[in-house]
Amino acid sequence: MPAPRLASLLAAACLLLAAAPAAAAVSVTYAASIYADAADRPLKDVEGVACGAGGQISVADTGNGRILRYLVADKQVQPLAEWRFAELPYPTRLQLDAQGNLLVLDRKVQRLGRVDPQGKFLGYVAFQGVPGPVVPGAFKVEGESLYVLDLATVSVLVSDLAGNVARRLDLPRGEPAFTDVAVDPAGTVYAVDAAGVAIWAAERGAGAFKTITRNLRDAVSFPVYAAVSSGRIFLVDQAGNGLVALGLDGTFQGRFLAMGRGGGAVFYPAQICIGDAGWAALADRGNNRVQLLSLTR
Amino acid sequence: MRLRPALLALGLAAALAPATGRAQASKYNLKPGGGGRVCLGCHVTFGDVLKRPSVHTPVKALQCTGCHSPHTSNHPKLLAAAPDATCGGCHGSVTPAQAKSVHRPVAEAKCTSCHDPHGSGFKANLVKGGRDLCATCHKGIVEAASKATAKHRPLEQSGCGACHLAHGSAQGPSLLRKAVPALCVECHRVDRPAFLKQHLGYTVGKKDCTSCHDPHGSSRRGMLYDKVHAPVARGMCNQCHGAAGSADQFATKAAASALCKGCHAQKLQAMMEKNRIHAPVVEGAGCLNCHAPHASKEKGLLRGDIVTVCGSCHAESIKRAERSDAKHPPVVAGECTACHDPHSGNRPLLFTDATVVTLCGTCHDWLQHSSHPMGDKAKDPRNRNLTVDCLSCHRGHGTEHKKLLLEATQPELCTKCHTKYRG
Repeated sequence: MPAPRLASLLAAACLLLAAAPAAAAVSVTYAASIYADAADRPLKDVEGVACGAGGQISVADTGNGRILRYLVADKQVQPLAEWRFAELPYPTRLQLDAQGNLLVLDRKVQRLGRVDPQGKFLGYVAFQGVPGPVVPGAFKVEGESLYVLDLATVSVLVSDLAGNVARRLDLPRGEPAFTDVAVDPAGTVYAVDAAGVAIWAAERGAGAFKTITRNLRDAVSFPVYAAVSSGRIFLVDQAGNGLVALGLDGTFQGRFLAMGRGGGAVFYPAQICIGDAGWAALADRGNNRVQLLSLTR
Repeated sequence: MRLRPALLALGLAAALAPATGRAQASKYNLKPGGGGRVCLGCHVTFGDVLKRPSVHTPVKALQCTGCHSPHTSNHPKLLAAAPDATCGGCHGSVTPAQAKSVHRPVAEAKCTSCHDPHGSGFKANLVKGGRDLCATCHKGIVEAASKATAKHRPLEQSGCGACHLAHGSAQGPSLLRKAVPALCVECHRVDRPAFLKQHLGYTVGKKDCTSCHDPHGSSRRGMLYDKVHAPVARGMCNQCHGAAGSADQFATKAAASALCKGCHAQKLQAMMEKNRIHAPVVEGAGCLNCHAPHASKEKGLLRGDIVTVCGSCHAESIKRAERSDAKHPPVVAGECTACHDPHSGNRPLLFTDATVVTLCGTCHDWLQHSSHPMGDKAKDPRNRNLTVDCLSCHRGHGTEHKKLLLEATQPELCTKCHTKYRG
């Protein structure tokens, strides 16, 4: 089965999607889309992407209940593997650890599962050191640590990769509805508040979160995912159908993409991962595809 | 000479005018006896205003220039300053410094929403009297209070002002003079044996009365909200809480949704069997994020009307619908659950039906309204993984265009897919 080809798409559709404001030093350019698996079967309700080393991308093909792996190299997308796990019937968000293991958030079983690079299910992350069951709503991996948004306790749990919780950071109660957690290399933890349309941050060693954004409603509707890369926070605005760049201090740097169905447009996007060579993959859920984007800094 | 008495009267009026009035006269170099009388020369019907029972002080003194600039202005009605600055010039801030709640018209400097700046038939120049004024915005509450069979006496006797302040409150939310229960216990003695008996032995004197009682009156005995949780209605508080009068009388027997599962196990199980759980179902307080545990005005014991409840997180979706010229009836009617399952679902956006076409088809017979192909066999030319459905052209919560369409004109819309017809 022919793999989706990047070359012609790059030539035809390398399109600057939104001019970044003068102050922003980043622009986002559409490169290509992944629509199908190795057998040309279509993706459905794609909710997760994880960018690995050497151009590997893992994709949570959520609506089809599977995980796919691709290699993006030499302007071509090559399907590598398809995995299905009874333990992960509805995979959504994905992250990779330093060993190349895939961590998978399954929204149906509401647990975090681990899959090794060969596609073997290693089990669920068993959280220890917290009273009651953890209900992970989002997570990130940073080094040997796991940062988990625990919906049950409305807090961010910091654990090792096995789930031994070393720290708990309570999130503000009240009106916020948190949809994601992120961490930067300095150890600052960020929490995405979709209801309040705000980013909360707790610096390393801080005991409480505080808001770092102001008037973000002007630029964002319903943020659901944050990726920290090269001194920026990239926010996926699901209901606003776009991607927003912020500084680590919460300052607005630019808004990219727009609602639509064609290449370069998005419809209720869910997750973004940023690769190591200036490219990114976006889980374009409502469009049943993954979009490959070039991030120019 | 016939002018003489008039001039005499004008001179007298000028002499009696307060210092500020004279200053204004001086500022505008008005002829003796000028000021408001000059204005009345053209604004002849204004004489009626002066006869009203409550007339604004500067109007009474015919100091029109106290608020208006007679020649030109950058503000409406030739006001000398912006509306809030005009009123604030004499009245200062009408809200406490550390206000816990501020009336929206005050916050928006819309004093004239409630006050007539010239004069009215009601005290404090209010544009309407009593509850009629509040009903201008709070119609639902006032109407429900009028229909209530179990009425709250202070409301009946003294109106809204018995409990609420008009501008801002330093002590309570919702402009309450004090927070609940401090406000309630001003009248209700909680140490009376009868009070304890009415509350089945639970010492609720320091609890939030409004978690069970509707302070505006209701159709239920004891002014309980119209919808009461079955255990509360049966007086079985200890089904969820400790024994009355015990040290842990208010503690719940389990946390969050685990408590609700005791009775609603099947419903919760059905939620959990679906692919996607709505975050509030499992987040923190669980069911109580959206539902009241004791009583509510709303069906399903919701904490507020469904637009308020859903809008507490999805404010932008609600605002989009409000901004939209075309209104989708379920959105207008606050029937979010017509399309979305509030608990869980198998599809993104928690749609209640398997496909968009079948979902919309529950109300719209699309074959009647359009002959455009839709469904599984109609591929979207923009995206190989999509078929044409209602959302290819419409957006359920509204757009800035007619018929919830994604584009302003038919050519713009159609050429999104039919690219060969683009100009």
